[in-house]
Amino acid sequence: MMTCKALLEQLDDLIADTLAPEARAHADEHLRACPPCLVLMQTYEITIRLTRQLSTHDAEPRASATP
Amino acid sequence: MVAPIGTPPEGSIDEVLRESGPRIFRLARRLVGNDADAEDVRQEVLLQLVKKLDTFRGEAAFATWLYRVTVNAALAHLRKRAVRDEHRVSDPLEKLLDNHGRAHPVRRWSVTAEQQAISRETRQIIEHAIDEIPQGYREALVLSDIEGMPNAEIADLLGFSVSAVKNRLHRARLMLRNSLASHFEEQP
Repeated sequence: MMTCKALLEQLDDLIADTLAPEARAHADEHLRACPPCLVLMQTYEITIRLTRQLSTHDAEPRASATP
Repeated sequence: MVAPIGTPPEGSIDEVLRESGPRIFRLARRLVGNDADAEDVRQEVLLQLVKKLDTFRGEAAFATWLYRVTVNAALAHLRKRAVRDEHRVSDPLEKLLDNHGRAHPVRRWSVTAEQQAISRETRQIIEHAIDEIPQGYREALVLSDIEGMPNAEIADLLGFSVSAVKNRLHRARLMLRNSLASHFEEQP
């Protein structure tokens, strides 16, 4: 079975769903059997989504910017 | 435009060194951001100055030369420091794995990927955590995940290959995840 290290190296491709079908099947098999890797993948994805929200916040008008 | 920092190479070499040293230090300090590295730059520039002092003709040539050499030396110092710091960066993957390469148990987070908007406090936590990521990795993360720039454009901008950008981005995201975990993990 795929190692945890190999799985974690592929997190970006896993989340973007750009793995080849066979590699995806190996990754899914690992995730079903390895709760820590599943949580790591979920929290990695949350990290990316939270970071992407920073640009939205930067674009918001600031109430105190102008008198 | 920054004013030239040099002085005409008049008088003894000791006088020129004495007068130029503080000016070199001040400029270098602004560029490298700390006294120790600025002192290294000052020593390096003074060494070059001693070697080339007798080749100058007039104040302007000397001032321009000294300014340029100081800026170049400071930038070279910054590049060396970036490489040095990079070597000290530990692989964030290693923190997640035991000696047998298996992932350590981890807790779920109290925030979700579907959360619509982040609070001001959460934003501050994330921004602070991003500040802590080493420079070469932070650049990739900011340009990709905040600025929305494609990896190919980031590679062009930073002078890396696309695969190097992907690797840095992955490491930066892992560093950020590991840092945020202490704030967002569910309590046992």
